[in-house]
Amino acid sequence: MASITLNNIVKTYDDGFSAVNNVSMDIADGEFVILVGPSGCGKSTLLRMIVGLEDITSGELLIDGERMNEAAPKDRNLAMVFQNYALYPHLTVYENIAFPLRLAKDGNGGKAGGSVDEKVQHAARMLELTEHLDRKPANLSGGQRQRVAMGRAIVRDADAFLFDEPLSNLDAKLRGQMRSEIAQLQRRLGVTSVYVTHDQTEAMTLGDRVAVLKKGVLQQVASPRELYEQPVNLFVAGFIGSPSMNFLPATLKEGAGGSVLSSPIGDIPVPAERAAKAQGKGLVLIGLRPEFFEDAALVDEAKMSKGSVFTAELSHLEWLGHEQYGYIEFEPDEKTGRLLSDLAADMDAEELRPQVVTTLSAESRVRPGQPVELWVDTSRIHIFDPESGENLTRDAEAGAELTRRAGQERERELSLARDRDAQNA
Amino acid sequence: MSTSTEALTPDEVEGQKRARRARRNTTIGWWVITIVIAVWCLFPVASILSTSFKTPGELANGRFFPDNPSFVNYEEILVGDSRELFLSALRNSIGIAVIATLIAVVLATLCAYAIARLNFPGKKAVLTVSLMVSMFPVISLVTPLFNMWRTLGLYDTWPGLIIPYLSLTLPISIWTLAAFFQQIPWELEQAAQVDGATPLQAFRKVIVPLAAPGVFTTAIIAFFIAWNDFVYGISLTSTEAARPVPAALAFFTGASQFESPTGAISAAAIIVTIPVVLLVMLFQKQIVAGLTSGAVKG
Repeated sequence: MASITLNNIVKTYDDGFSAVNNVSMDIADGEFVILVGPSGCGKSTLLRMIVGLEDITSGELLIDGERMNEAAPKDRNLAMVFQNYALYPHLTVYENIAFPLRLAKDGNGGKAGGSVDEKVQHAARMLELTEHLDRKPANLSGGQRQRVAMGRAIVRDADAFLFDEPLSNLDAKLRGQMRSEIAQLQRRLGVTSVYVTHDQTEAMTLGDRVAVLKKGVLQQVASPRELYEQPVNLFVAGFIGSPSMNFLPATLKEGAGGSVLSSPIGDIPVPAERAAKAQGKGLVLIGLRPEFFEDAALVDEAKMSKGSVFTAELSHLEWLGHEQYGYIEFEPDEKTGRLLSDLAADMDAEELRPQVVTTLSAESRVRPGQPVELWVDTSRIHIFDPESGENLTRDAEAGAELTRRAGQERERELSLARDRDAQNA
Repeated sequence: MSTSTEALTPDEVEGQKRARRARRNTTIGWWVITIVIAVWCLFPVASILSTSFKTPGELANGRFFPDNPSFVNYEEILVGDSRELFLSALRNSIGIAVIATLIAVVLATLCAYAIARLNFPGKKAVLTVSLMVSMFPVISLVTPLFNMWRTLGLYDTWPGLIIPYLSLTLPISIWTLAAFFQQIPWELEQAAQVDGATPLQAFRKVIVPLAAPGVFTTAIIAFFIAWNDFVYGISLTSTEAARPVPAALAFFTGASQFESPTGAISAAAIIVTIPVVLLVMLFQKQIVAGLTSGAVKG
C-alpha cells in the first residue's frame, strides 16, 4: 500500500503536443481516485506515466515519498489492468495469474514469500475463477477475461492498482456488475487505486475522489458530491451529471421583490447573496440542474419558498416511469450560442441544443405544447462567468466539507473491511 | 422444411434452385482449378519419381511408368559407386542449411523485433538494404566471392557457403518476422513489464512463445532457400569437403562413360525432396496456427 504524489507533471510529445499540463495531485494510501474527462484529455497518458510506460517530461512522481520518475515499470511495484486486458494468450488462466509471481521468484533466486499456488488459488477464489484455471484466455467470456486481468493484479501485493478504462469493452449489464465488484474488491484489499474512465457513472460511483481533466489540465479534484454540488467551473458543471446541467444566458435586474436574473425562459428571482455574485458582470451564465425543476402543482408549501414559479411551454416530454424529462426550448443570442457550442466541443459532446432539460415527478400531469407552471429551486442556482467559465457562486468551504466527509466515509469503510477480514481469518 | 417450401411461390422456388445450382457450379469450378494446378505442379515430381525406379536400359523407352521397377538407382547412390559423392554431399547440405537457417533465424528474430517495436534512426534503411541484398542477382556475386574466398581460405569450406547463404536467408527472415511481430499486441509486453519483467524477460516469456509459429514458418522458408541453392554450391566448392547435393548431382556419372546418370540423379533428387516434404507436414500446424487469438478483447 502506498500513497502517490504528482508534482507539476508535464507530458510533451516530440511533435510539441502537450498531453498533460502541470498536473499536481496527492493520492492517499488506500484511496480510490478516478481520472475522468472527454477523450484526448490526457487521462490515460497520466496513468501510463504513473506506471512508467510513458516518460515524464517534467515534474516529479513520488510513490510513498520516493521519487520514481526514472524507475522502470517493473521496479515501481504497481499493478495495471489494461483496457483490452492484455492477457497472455499462450498461458492458461492459472499461469496468467501466476505470471508476476513467477517473475518475482526468478528475480530473487527462488525465495518468494508464500507459495505461488496458494496465492493463485486465493485470488481465483476471490474472483470466482477456480473452475476456469486450466482454460486459455481465448475461451473465456469478456467478464471472465476481465477478472483474470484483475487476478493478475491482485496476487502481487502491489502498492497500487491502476485501471485503464477496464470496463469499456463490456456490455452495459456486465459493466454494472463488474463496477460493483471492483468497488468491493478495492475496499476489501484497501489498496490505493487510480482508475481512468470517460464514463461519469463509473467516476461517480467508484471514486473517493474524482479528478476532472480537460485538454491535459486538471480542472478539479474532489469527491463526487463536491463535483456535483460545487463545481469549480462551467466545464466540470457540464461534464458531471446526466442529463447535464442546463446553462442559460441571463442578466441581473433589480425587480420589485429583489433581484431577478432575466433569462430566455423568464425572470428568475434569486436570493440576495447569490445576486451579489453576479453584480457588475453584465451577461452571466446560470446553471440549473434538471432536478432543480418541478411541476409547481406538486411542490409542497415548505419547499415552495426556496424557489420561484415561472410559466413555460414544454416542447416535448419523456416519461421514464420513475420520473419524466420535460424539455423547454429557447432561442439563444449569438454570443451565448457560440459559448454553448464551444462548451459542447470541449466536453466532446454532440452539439448542445439550446434547450432546458427538467426532471419532473412521474406523477406530474403537465402536457407539452401548452403553458405550464414550473417551480425552480433558486437557492441552488449556479452563476458562471461567461468569459472565464468560473463558478461565481461556488462555496469552497461547503465543497471542502463534502470531500472531507467522503474521506471519513472511506476510512470507516476501510476499517470495516479490515474488521471483517480479521473476523474471517 | 417441407412446409416452408410449400409456402413459397413458384418463382421463389425457381430462384432457390438457381442459387443451389450456382453454388454447385462454383464448387465444381474450384475443384477443376485445384486439380489442374495440382497436376501441373506434381507432374514433374511424379516423372522424376518414376524415372528413379527405372533401370538404365529403360530410361529412353519413352514410357512414363517403369516396366519392372527396381531400386538399382537408389543402390547406386546409397551403397554403390556414387555413394561417396552423394552421402558426403547430403551431409554437407544438411549441415550447411541447418546452420545457415539457425543463424538467420536468431539474428532475424532480434532484428525484426527491434524493427517492429523500437523507433530508431535508420530503421527504414535496414529494411531497404536487406531487401536490396535479396534482390541482387546471385550470379553477379559469385565471381568476386570466388576470388575473395580463395584469398581468405574460405573456398570449399562450410563457412564459405554459410555466409553467402545468410545473404539469401536473412532478408526474407527479417521481413516475414517483422510483419509477424507487428501483429503481436504491444500491450502484452507492457503488461509483462508492469508485472515485473525486464525487457529481456518480457521478450523471452511473452513475445517469443507468441512468435513461435512465425519463427517456425520463417525457419522453414530459410531452410528451403539454403537447401535449394545451386549457384553458390557449385561455384564455391571443389571437393566433397563442402559440396552440397544440388551441386553434387552434376558430378554423377553413369556406370560407364556412355551411360547417362539420369536414373541416379532422379533417385538423389527424390531423396533430397523428402526432408522438405517432411518439414512441411510436421510443421503445418505451426505454420497455420494463429496463436494470438484471444490475447485482447474479442
